[in-house]
Amino acid sequence: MTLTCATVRDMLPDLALGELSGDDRALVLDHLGTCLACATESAEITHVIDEVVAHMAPRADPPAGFESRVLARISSTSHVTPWWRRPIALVAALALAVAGTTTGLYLTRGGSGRLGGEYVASLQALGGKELRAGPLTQRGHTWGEAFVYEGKSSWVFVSMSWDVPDGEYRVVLDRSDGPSATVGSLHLVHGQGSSGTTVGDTHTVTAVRVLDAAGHTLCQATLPT
Amino acid sequence: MHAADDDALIGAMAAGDEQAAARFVRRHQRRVFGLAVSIVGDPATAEDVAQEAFTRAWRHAGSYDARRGAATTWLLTITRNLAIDAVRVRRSDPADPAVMATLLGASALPGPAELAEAGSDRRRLVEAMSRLPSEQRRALVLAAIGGRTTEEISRSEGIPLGTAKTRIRAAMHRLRAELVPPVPDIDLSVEP
Repeated sequence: MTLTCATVRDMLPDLALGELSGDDRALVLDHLGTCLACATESAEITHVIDEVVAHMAPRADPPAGFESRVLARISSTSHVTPWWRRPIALVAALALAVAGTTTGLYLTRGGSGRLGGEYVASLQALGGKELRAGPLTQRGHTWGEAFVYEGKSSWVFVSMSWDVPDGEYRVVLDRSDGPSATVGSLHLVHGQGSSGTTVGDTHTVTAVRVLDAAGHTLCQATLPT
Repeated sequence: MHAADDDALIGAMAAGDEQAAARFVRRHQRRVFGLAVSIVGDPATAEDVAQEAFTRAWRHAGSYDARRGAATTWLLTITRNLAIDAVRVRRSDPADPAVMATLLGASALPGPAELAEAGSDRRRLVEAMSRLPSEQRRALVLAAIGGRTTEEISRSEGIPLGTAKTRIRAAMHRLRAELVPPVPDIDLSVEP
């Protein structure tokens, strides 16, 4: 089932306020992944809600001792380090590109913006053909990132860090030349996890989605083309 | 309060600096607790929510990207989501009527003196909010800050569900028109 732009736009306020059911949310997110005009309107409506909350929410003094209780809790809580900031994981990810024989390098920042010039140089040295990345988003908020690499050996890597139930999730690729397909699973614990898998080719991949067990799209990264 | 200061604090938190976390908590605790209590009503639950919001900010500081939005927006979004989850899990009653009355009353909009000292973003939003019909402003505040569903707003306001939905949407679209700058037309013609 696909939705028209008019139907989706009618649902955007509910999406921004978190009122859509799982099925409706998945349908709307699917549409937003392919329609720039609706995605732009969605981001603007989310921005309105964010602004209202940021500037109009009342301020109130918390109970005495709040600060020390928070800090005690923080002291016993470890950080979640994104994979791209872990040198070993980064090296491992880049190592996958070693097998690539290429006709040149096309690396786009896309929505990610996390890949700096040093990585471009590294991938040039390794010989990758194309590396695309995009933020995994839901309702205008970023839940993680998706990377799609094409070389002799092509791969997809997904990293998520958001407040969702523990469990197994599916990683699905949408393609411009064929049906969507599940390419791997993602195991999340305390809302975080990452997963990589090799795939046949990636140049027709338009989006990466993370689905729950019921098949609902939790978040989606639309890749630059 | 400068966004750059917040970004620096979050950067330090990502590196494990607990002193930075203390400053971040001190700086934002009134906003976080105020939002939490406006949604959940009960101060004890609001404290749980506020504590969890700061703990998550600490855990996920390394994922924060200032290019995607201000630190306060990030922190308050975490708070709002946690508070709404707490409301839906723990109770079905609306927030304390006294809290909501304060939130929705005339005092909810800052006066001229406070506005003069406010940042331009806040001034713009408050002015746009003040131009909304009061019933639309009320519905939007109940939904966005009170964390109420459209159905709850319909019940508490004694209006049909469709009317509640229309008020919220109209308010959002009017604010969007005022707050989001129009995309400029791009001239694609080529000069000879």
